[in-house]
Amino acid sequence: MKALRFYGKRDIRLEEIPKPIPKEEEVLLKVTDAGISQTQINEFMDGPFLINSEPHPLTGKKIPIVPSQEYGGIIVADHLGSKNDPVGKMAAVLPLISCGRCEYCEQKKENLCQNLAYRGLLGADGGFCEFSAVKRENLFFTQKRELLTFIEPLAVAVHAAKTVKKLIDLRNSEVLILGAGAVGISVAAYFEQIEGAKVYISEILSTRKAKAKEAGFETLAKKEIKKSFDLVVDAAGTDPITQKPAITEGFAYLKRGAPLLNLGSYFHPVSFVPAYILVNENSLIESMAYDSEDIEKLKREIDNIKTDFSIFIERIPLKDIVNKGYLRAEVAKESFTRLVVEP
Amino acid sequence: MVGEIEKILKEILNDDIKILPKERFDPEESSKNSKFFGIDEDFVFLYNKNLPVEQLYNIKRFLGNFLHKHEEISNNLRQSEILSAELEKMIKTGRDFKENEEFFQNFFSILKNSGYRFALIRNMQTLFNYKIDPFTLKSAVEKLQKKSAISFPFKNGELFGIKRGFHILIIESQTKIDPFDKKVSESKLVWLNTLYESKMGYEIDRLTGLFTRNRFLKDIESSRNISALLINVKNFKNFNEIYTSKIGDKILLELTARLRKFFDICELYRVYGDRFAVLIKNIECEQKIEKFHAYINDTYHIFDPKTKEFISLSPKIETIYFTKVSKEILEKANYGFKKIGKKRAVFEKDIAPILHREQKSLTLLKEALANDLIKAHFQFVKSTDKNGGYFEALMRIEHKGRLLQPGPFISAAKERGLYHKLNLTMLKKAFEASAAMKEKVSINIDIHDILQKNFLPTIEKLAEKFRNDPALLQFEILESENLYDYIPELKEFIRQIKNFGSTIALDDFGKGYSNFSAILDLEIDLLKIDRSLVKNISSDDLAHKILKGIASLCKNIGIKTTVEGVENAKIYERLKEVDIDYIQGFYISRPLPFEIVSRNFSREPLQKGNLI
Repeated sequence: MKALRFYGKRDIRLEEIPKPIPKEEEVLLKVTDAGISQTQINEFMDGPFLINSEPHPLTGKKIPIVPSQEYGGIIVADHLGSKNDPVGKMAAVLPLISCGRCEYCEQKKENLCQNLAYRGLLGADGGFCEFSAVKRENLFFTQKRELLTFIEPLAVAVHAAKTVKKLIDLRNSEVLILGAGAVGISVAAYFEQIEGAKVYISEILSTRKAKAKEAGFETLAKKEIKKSFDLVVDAAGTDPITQKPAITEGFAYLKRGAPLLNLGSYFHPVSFVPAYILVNENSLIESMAYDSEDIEKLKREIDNIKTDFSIFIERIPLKDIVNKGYLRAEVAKESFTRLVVEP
Repeated sequence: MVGEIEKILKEILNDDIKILPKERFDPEESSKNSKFFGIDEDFVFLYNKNLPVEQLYNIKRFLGNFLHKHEEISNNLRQSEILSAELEKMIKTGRDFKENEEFFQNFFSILKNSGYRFALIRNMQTLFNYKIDPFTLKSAVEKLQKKSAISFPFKNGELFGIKRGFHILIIESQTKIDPFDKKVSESKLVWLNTLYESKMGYEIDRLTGLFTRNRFLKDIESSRNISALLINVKNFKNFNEIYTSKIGDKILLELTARLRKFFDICELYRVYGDRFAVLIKNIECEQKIEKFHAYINDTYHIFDPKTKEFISLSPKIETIYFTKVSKEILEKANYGFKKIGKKRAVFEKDIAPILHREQKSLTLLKEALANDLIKAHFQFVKSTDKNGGYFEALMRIEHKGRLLQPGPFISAAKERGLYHKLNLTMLKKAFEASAAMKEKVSINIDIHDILQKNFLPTIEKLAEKFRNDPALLQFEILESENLYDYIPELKEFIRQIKNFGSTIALDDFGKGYSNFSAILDLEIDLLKIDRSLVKNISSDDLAHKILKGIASLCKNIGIKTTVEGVENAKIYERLKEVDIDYIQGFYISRPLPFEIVSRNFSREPLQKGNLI
């Protein structure tokens, strides 16, 4: 089958690899949708950061790895090759793989698993290929195709809400989200429609901002941002065109005592003067991936999320992934919100 | 260069290309009209047309590499330009080194041009300060007492300080300080310090950075109407011995710091290892010195890196204040510190009179030596069981027809190197008298004589010259504070004297230094009991008993005894009950010149008739 594999910094190769054979408890998925995320672009431009060059302790797998942690498709076979349920169903893949034995897994904090693997990023192949063998427990069934690449960012949003709620009450709180990429949109949708927060999105790229507005979110230009939010979410991460990274800029928009939630992955040092956070008693909180409880919650709530994610999606064929996907994400970011590869 | 690239790309792509530094780029504004991507951390590329992704990607890679290389090269170029300018400057400063603000300002102009604030400090004195607030400066300098370099984040900037030799450089910046600038600054500081040391080296003390003795002597020569405070750390040697010289150095450094704090505008000197001097221009001193003592004597907390603990020490500081300075000030101070047990002395008041007296006696002594006015008198020491006895030779100095006791002259003679000549004179006269009278003569010597290498040969030579019977010579060793520090040397001397055939007496027993077990060990022949134990025996029963005890003890171990201070009949009578061997004193006989004792001498206790 065709697959894109990551070998190292600025080294991705579209090549022919063996089709995976599902083991017991696994099904074979025909990948229909696989998202290109900023995380993957960072790995390509400057990585590897998360992608492992040594064999992974749980899976034994290392570079080359098939990227994409946000993907899904249609189940075409189980391990016996039969046509029984769930063959024929559409499902998103839940990329987190935990060991189930460590102290964190025992506490159901699978996102902190000591032997964590993550499809498309760490110790396991992801979605930029034609077929994927996936454990049944890692399937998230849905009938909406546009959700296939948004289930992962939505799960991240559920976890983020859980983390934030330990500190503040989200209902009716004023939340500013920095960045209108896939994660920013997912968090905005979940926080507004499920948690009852009043959400604003700030996005420097005018095309993305327009898309967010079209989807029904309130957007703010930098100049319009008042400095009194109950919560600021950094869903932007590093961007070479901004002068100040969102993680430091965001503190300026907070009320006293309010936290900044970071979802962006920064692999370079960021500098700021801690005293300015101290005197306002702001805090920096981090939320990483999701756990099994979040998935149960998302299953219950998914139908209550009314945002039409299809308007963000632009599809490209797998054969064009390098030029129309990776390179474009690097030099023409304003031309899309969500690039989805169709293998 | 960036502008030229921009121009070329405009032509090739036929588009209004812009390459903007990030700080001039507003993404929100620009994304309304044009497209863009970040080239690297510093530059953004703006374009308008729908250019193929591959082309954009190639432009990005090319510009990224090009700008990176370009920055690297221009940075190297800038650095090498600075370096060559600095080298030029260094060569010049080697010739034009001057101690003024203009020089320092010019020397560090690179810092000023780069927008830094900075200050130059030498020996805790600020030579130059460009815009650093005094508090920041002070705390940075304090920190540099313990480290050779410091660097602290300071808001979005940095505070950087280095210490090289006598110099400290502090740089404060609103942004991070370029490591290249740090290196250049450090090398300049090293150079400045080297220049300073080469010019001032022999005038600057390496440890404390204070001026040296050389400089002190030079300065007092060129100063008028100046007073001086000389400072001595009395127990400094002890600290060095008990701890280590490293701790000793730390004490001196702490002392230096206190001196600097207290006398901020005065000239400070380290004139000897543990002696310091301050030149003071205005005279309001007495009170100030009192305050100074309270401050300088306050406990020193010294960190011992070996034990990682603080040691609390109390150096004993003595001072002598000179209201006027003279060339001989250091010798005068040395003399004063030796003579005066006073914490705070004023030279003119406390020391000058003593010095004056001593100098007078020295002159007198020199005269006496030159004109054979050193006289030997002989006092008869009577045996208690028979008519016999011996004579003790005593020194007298003839001056203007009067005879003076030698006591006040001896210590001055010892200090000025006249003692040996003096004692040789006495030896000769005593030997001569013994030979002539064929009587036993006892001669006073002290540890100085014994430690002198040619003392024994001198004795042998003199005895040969005067044809002495060694058995008629007795050497009376004076008990003194440091006598028992030299037990091995003493024992060897006594052995040789006994070999020679003479006897050994120990003088002044009971005066205060006596060490009875050492006396037994020395195997002396005769113990001379000091007059202080004798003078009250007629009235004081306890004194009588003590004397009796000593006498019988000596008898038992075979040491003969002489009691001196027999001044009257009462003492004489009372002594009859004590088992001693010899008695000495005015009641028996006064010291008399040789001419008299050699002619006609009564050996009976003093009666009216034989008072000569």
